[in-house]
Amino acid sequence: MKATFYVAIAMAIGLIVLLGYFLHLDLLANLRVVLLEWAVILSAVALLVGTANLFYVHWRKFTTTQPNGFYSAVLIISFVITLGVVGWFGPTHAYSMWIFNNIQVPIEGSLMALLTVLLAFAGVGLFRRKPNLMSIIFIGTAVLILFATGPLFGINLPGISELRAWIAQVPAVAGARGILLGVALGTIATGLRVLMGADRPYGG
Amino acid sequence: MGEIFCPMCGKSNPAESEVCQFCQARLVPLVFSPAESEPPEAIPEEMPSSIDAAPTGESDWLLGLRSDEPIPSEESLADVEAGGLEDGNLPSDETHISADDVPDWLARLPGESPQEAEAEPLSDWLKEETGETEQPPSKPVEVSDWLSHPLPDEGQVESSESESELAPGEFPSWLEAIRPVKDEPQTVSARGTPERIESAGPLAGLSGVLPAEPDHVRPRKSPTYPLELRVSANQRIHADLLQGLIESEGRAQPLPQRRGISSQHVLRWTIACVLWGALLWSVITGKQEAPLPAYTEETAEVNRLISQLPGEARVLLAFDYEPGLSAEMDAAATAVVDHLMLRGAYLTLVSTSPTGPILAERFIMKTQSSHHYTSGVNYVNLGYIPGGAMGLLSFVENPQRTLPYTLDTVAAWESEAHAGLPALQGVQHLNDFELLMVIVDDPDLARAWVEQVQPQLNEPDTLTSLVMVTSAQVEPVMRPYFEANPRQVHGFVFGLRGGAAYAQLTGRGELPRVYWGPYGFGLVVAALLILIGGLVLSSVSLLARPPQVKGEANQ
Amino acid sequence: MSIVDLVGAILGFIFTLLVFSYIIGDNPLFRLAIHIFIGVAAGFATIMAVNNVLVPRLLIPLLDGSRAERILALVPMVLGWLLLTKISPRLSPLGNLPVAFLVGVGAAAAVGGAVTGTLFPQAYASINLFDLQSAGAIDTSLGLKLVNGVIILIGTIATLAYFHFGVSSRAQQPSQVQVWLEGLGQVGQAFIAITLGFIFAGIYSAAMVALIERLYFLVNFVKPLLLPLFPSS
Repeated sequence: MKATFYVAIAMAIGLIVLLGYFLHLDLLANLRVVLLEWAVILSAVALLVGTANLFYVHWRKFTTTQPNGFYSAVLIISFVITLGVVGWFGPTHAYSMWIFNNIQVPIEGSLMALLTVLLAFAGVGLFRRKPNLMSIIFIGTAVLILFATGPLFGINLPGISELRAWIAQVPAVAGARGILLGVALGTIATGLRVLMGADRPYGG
Repeated sequence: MGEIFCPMCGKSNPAESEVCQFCQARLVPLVFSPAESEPPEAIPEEMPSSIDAAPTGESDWLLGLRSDEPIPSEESLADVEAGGLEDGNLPSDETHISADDVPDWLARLPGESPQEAEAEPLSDWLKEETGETEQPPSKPVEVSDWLSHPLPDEGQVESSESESELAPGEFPSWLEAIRPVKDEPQTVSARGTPERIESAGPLAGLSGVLPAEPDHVRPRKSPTYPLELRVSANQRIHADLLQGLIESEGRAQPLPQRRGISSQHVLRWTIACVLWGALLWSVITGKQEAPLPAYTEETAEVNRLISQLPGEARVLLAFDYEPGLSAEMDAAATAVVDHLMLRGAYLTLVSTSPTGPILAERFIMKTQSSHHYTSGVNYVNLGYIPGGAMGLLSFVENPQRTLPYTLDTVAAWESEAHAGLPALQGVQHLNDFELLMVIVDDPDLARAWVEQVQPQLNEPDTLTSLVMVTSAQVEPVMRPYFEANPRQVHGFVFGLRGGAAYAQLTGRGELPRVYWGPYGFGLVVAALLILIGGLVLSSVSLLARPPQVKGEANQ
Repeated sequence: MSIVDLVGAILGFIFTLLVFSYIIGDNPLFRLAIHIFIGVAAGFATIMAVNNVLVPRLLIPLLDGSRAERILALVPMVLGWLLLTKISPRLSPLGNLPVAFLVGVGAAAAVGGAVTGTLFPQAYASINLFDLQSAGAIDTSLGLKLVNGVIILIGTIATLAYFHFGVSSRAQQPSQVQVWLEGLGQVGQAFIAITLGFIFAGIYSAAMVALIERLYFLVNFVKPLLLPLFPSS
């Protein structure tokens, strides 16, 4: 009974939102706006659920003296301090921006910078085994684009930019368009399965 | 009114029926009329040792059921069922089936040998079975003389010397272990099925016949089986091992620490040293200055659209990238936003990422400080839209209800109670903005913006254009939206290359110029590393192969 | 530079080095930096959700709104409380209703966006590759545009064929993929390899800019301390 109720809710609400894409009726539009507003609010609550769960997991790790409990303590302390400072002074206050500029941005930027080594390592690793045609095309395209994106030792070689532009505008667009269409078809199939009640990710 | 149950289908029929009204099976067996009719007697426990000569017409196999005569072999019975013996003759009532006639395969079947059958009286459990069974009342049938007598005593059956007794079968230990300990072995007939002696109806006293009443209508106590297992020591060891394996499932196992330095570590460190060393040298010395790239069609379109904006245009600016990619996005967007501010555009900042509004403030402070844009006057930061595509759709449908306040909780939109901020004067819907610019690093997020926002911009009389400043990784996936006809996105600035090209177009923007030289140098070094390193590695692996493999490869 | 900025710069410098230490291998210093980052990021996300969404769109209408606004705000408030029960495994089933609500809206938004924003326009774009009128006046590049259009169309169809996993089944014969479809899928695989190679190069380019920015930061932090070693610009 409960499962049927959940399915009915998901289907009814989904149908109202979906119909709004194709039918332009005032009543439907007003109902749609209200439902979307509620969904936005619930999305924010879902984010809170995520952070609360993160806090709870690490709190348990710290209080039950599990291995690596020290790191959990560090996480909790940084979480609480950030909550306090940003919550009290506001996100755009100088103190909040100080935390953001000097802790979050450097760490995230450094993590991204690590990829230069790790991706190069992965690219070299492709040659370790006997490469097939597709991996040769893959790494060949990547290397060619890397050569053609920046100036080649300070020189803009003629032809290489045009070659890069042609690859970007023709074969890459063809593959990307096929991928986009495939993703769209898959999204439609999966979404319709949910709207018809065939898939019930909400535990119905 | 009495009723009788069909022995074939088990359904109830009126007592006087001779055939079942459902399956047409006979309910009343064919009655033999003996010469001397005698009232039916209770079936004695033991059949008399001799049975009178069979009346005329009596089947020979029935005659074999008489006390003097041995029980017909299963083989002969089977033959009867199959339609007769080879010679077409049914066994006559004079036929004695002796032990010699018992075929070997029958004699080897586990069970009682004829001698044992002779020696043993009727088993107690059989007697109990016949005694315990509750028989529904059945129609009294005229029982012939010979049928009313009990079965011949198995001890009186003439049989020849039996074959050598079959040794009891040896079961494997695991089968022995699960065998119920207290269960009594049932007698097994020659066919291997447990025998049951009919206790009701005209065939009462006979064994191996179809039940007059199906089992499912006869209430009986269900057999109980003990749950004790006989487990050997070896089996217990195996069971403990299996239990340990199952219990360890789900438990986090510490990863084994790799000791020593492997070739993978060396390769990684080599790549890091070469790449970072080259870039560090380029950054420190600043000797890798390079000419900025030429602009492309999609970048030129962005420039054209911004140049055509009226003064004090309302522009929606979405900051949808992560802090980790802020280096590239800041460099790509600097010249573009600088151009917007030069045109005097009012900016409305939004984001679908929690850190987006803060990144927007940081961007303006860090890269556009020369324009002295003030929050609440020249630009307004509406903050964070949660929910991804849902949030975007909500913002498209009704931006005022989705983001009613600024990041500083000031009422942003024009209403009866509030005048609204200058950046949102005259703006009710998304179509009221002259330009929508999305600064995004993720292909899925960029696609969500196009899917949710762009159809709204296709409305008639809409002059709002959609442009994007994206990371280089987004270019292949988003370019089809620019190459479409009609275009879904009217212009793109892809990565640092696009930002540098835009900086060359406008002649402004310091950040992309600073990064451009080391950027190009670093990409070339990386490409050479991948190429040379890959060739060396493949050569080493090829040379390291054993000769046999090489020989096989050459064949 | 003020003391606060100096302390911030030192922190940024230390955190950058802590993260770069991952090149040597996973180590406690790297893990320390990552845990601090996660705590800070979670704190920012929590405050943004509360300050920017829940307070203005839930609390203020409930406390300060009109009657209609209060009634309308009651539903998300109740649903929000039910959603919070997802934190507890015991009370988790109570949160199925708001999750069903979110799933319904999310699925509808995804389907509607995919149909109106990608499927129809991109399919239309594949057809319009051969729209000679929109290609402009006849010029020397028209032939090249047509050739490019043919390549894009074949590539698009071939890529879609690669993602086709159906087989034809006949009575008393093993199921098999049609040969022509398999061949077309191979061609599509090549186009996908080109696209993915381009994406790989794009990700690498983005990472390169991040590295350059970090190196500039490190150099600019150390430079004043080692001023005599650097040539004057």
